Amino acid sequence: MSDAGASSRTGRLQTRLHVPRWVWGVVLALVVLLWRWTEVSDLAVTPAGRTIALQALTTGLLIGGVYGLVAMGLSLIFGVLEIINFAHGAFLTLAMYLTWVLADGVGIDPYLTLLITPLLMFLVGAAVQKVVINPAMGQPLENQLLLTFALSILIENALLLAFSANPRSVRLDYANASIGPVEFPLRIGGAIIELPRIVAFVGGLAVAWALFSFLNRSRVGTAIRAAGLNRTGASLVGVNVDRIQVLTFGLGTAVAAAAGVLVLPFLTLEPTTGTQFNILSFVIVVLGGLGNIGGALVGGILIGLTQEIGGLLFPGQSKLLPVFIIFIATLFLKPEGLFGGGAE
Amino acid sequence: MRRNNLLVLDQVNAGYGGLQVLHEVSLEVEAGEVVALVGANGAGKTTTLRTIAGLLVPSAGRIELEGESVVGLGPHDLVRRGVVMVAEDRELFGALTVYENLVMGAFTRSADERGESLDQVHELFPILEERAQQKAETMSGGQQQMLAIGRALMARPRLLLMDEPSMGLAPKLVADVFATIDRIRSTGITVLLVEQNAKRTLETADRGYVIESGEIHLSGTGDELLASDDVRRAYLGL
Repeated sequence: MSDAGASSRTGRLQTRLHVPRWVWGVVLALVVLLWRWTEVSDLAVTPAGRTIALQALTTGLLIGGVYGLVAMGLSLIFGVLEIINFAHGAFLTLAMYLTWVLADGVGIDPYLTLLITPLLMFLVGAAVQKVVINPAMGQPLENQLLLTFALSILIENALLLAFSANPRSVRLDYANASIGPVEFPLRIGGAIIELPRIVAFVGGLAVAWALFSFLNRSRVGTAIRAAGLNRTGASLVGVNVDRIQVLTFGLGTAVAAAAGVLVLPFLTLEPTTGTQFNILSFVIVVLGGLGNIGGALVGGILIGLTQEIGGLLFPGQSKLLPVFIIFIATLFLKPEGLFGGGAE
Repeated sequence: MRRNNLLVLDQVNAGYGGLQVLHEVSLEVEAGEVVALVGANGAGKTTTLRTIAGLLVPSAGRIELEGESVVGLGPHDLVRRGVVMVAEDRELFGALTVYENLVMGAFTRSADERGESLDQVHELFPILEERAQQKAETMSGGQQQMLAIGRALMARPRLLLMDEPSMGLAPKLVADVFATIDRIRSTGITVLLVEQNAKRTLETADRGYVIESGEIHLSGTGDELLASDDVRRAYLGL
């Protein structure tokens, strides 16, 4: 009884890349979806149909890498702070506007802002954790959800006020250049792959790799892992858990910001652009296991593929329909549900 | 007051939220001693240790480490000052290996110190070297207790706070735990030990305090307390 109020818990932060078992389930679902498409579509057996399928697969794979990166940030924040950050997408939008201002206003190459935007967003995220989120730590989950949700509305409307709802975009002068013998956009079997999408995928994987290395090799990363596994245990070995929470929220936000920079050259930017990323990351994080960083990356790629294959199957409808079917199936099939560890 | 006090608690009140558990608890621990805090379940033993370790902030009273107030310092600050706790529920990193847990224990220490401590801990608990690559959560209770003590030693404590280290262990392992405490004492580490196993504890300890309903009820050397009628009746079932 003297132990009442002791906050002991078994954390779920996973910072190594396992391929979780559910991956095969989703891959199977994707194959079924594609096969379904060849049944219902007259197009499917023609050469044009094969091109469309190839296009969907490449587009899905490339955007999936970015989805994975965004979701890694969200999963990291959950793994250490045990809060679902519903403002994650809004932070991504904010980062995109920041990059847009730096690129369009100041004239910096959008990709060069990778050295600036994530750093600034790290500070924003850290400050938000310290001032807004931290007082709500230890409160019921609903309070934290509402708080971060309110934060997202606040950010979206502030952006609306500052930049209006006019769609913005950045131009890359070299999007159609050729590098040596390789001409962009790339054409593979009729499918067209634009340079910015390739950069986003490769860049996304690079940032993901950097995050993995940081978490698994550095001293601060070690402290983050400890706090994500057992908060009390971490404090008893000398980790300042409060500071680690501030750092982690900043880090998760910076990762989303890097993804924002990477997608800006091929998306139009509006104050609500982050919403879809937000919803998808949530789905991905649940799929990959809350707090499982590697699961988020793999889940992101699979959800990217699902979305594009879904677009084939339900043309003109929401591409997200099959994504949510997979989401709901996951909740039913994973007995540990939302809070399952995922990979083991 | 005694000289050489490593730790002094003076009239400390503490609790959880609105529930006050400790009422004006005062105790002293000298450098090099093994001091026992015994009492029934719910008497406030764990609360006392958690307050010293910085996991709870006292609502009143003084806590001094070598004459300096440490009230308001977090557990991570106290680890750096040499106060390390082996928690009752061990608070291990279950998904990490034995080796990784020990390395985490030396988080506040340099790589050189870490290597040195690791050798010492392996010498004290050879099983932790044999099971280095096993996940902490897959070990038996007794082995987890050794790991929890080993992890605490990795931080090179001056004052080791031990909360019920023998709890839930088979008699043979309980004997091992008390033998371990003797060995830890011989390395010059001061130990504040909380136990329900009063007899064993008072036999091991230099001095002891008896806590009841959050108040210090009795104090004395281990032998004095063992001989006291109150203690014999209440805690030893004699």
